[in-house]
Amino acid sequence: MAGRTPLYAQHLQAGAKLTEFAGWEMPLYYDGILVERNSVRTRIGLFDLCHMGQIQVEGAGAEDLVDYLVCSDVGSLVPGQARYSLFCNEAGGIVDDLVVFRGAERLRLVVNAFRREADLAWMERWRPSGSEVEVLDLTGKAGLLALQGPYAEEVLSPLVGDLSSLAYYHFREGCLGGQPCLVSRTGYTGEDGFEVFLEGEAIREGWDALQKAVIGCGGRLCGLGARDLLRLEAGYPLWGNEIDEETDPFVAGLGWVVEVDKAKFVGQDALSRIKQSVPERRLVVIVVEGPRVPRHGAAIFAEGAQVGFITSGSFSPLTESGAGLGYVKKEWAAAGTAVQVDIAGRRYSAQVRSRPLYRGSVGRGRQLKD
Amino acid sequence: MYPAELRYSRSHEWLRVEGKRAVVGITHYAAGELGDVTYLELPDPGVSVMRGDSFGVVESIKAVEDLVSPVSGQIVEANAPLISSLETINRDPHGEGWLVVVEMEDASELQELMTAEQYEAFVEEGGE
Repeated sequence: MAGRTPLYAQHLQAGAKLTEFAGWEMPLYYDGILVERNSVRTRIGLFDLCHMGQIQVEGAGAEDLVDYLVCSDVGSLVPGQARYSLFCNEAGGIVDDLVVFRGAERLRLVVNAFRREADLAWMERWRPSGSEVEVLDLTGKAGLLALQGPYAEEVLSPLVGDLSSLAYYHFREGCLGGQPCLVSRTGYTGEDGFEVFLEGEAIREGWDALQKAVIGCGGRLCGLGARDLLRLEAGYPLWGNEIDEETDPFVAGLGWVVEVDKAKFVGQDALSRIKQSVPERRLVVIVVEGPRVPRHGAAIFAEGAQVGFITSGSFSPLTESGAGLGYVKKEWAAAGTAVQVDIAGRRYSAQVRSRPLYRGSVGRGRQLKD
Repeated sequence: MYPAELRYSRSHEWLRVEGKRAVVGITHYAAGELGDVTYLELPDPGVSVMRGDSFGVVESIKAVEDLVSPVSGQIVEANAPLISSLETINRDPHGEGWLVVVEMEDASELQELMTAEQYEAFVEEGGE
């Protein structure tokens, strides 16, 4: 039976249409994927992210272990700073993408729900024997909520304290309804927004307070359907679609995450080599002519021959059409290239566009210093 | 939820008998499973269908589904205006969201369909 987050009853009460995702029963939508996506783009939306993997690393050697596993320089992070990074395998393939939250004494990793078990096994494999590092799976005990949209700061500040000085990819302690929490300026939607870490009863109480504030200002509860459309428009990858153990960061447009010259880490040699080479294919945006949705795995054609495949697809109000991401051979990757996509056995005209389809309010606060 | 005067198929179409004709649409359950409909393909009047044949396509962000005819006969009407007002299918799937009218060949095929009560139980058990 699929797991339920602490907010399951709340979702039912709010009329959520549930779906099973990565072994969890989650809201796919409440009123509809498109209205919820619109709410995040224009106002604000509230998401339950309690299904995501949360792994705490603490004790002697915690920072070293995390630094050895991710392709970003963890040593240079200060407490209160977060970083998007990758676990890579020895061939340079991506084991998972994650966010590292660097606290004073410990680090917290937020990983894909679907990859949590694989990530824990990966960390166990590279843990030095005799090490005193503690790797704790907090999933299901620690909660995570996301408040995303251009009004997020305005709505959340009265509840947790002024957020105007909280820079992008930074976090700090706060208090929500008398309960301690962590608030980070991170997200997966392409809009400005925050993720709120809560524990125990504070998860439900926090949700109730945030729901009231969000609905009160004309925002919406949002499900995983809207979350996927938002991240797709913003050009963010999803493990299992754009990235996986056979895909390196460079071909996926994530070369900026890889610091090949940092201290030794898993995959460093392979990544250094791959960085020097020219990828044969590129991750691009595909916009379909018309409303048909390009689906994961669909073939992309040019001049009658297959030149790539779709990794993720949806219907986007930005183009009022089907749109998605996909890999195409580099010769066909220029923006404006005409291609065709197989949808349900028929070929539909489409166009390559450069990523991302959309740039929103995300990164607000990027200029602020610690 | 499921009007008593309609009949229902295992592939989540409903049917309303009007003499020799059958008005066909997708059920509230099917519309809910899809979410917002983003694309609809309907046949031209004159097309013949057998019971179980696909007569069109309905699509949403979540899924794409064939529309399956619950009876054999000839499509005599298709609700073409629906294509420029797809939200009607989600808003009123059993009424204004009707899809086609079929001139039935063999009324005995109606016996294969479920009553509202049977369909409600079918959906409650997972709808498959």
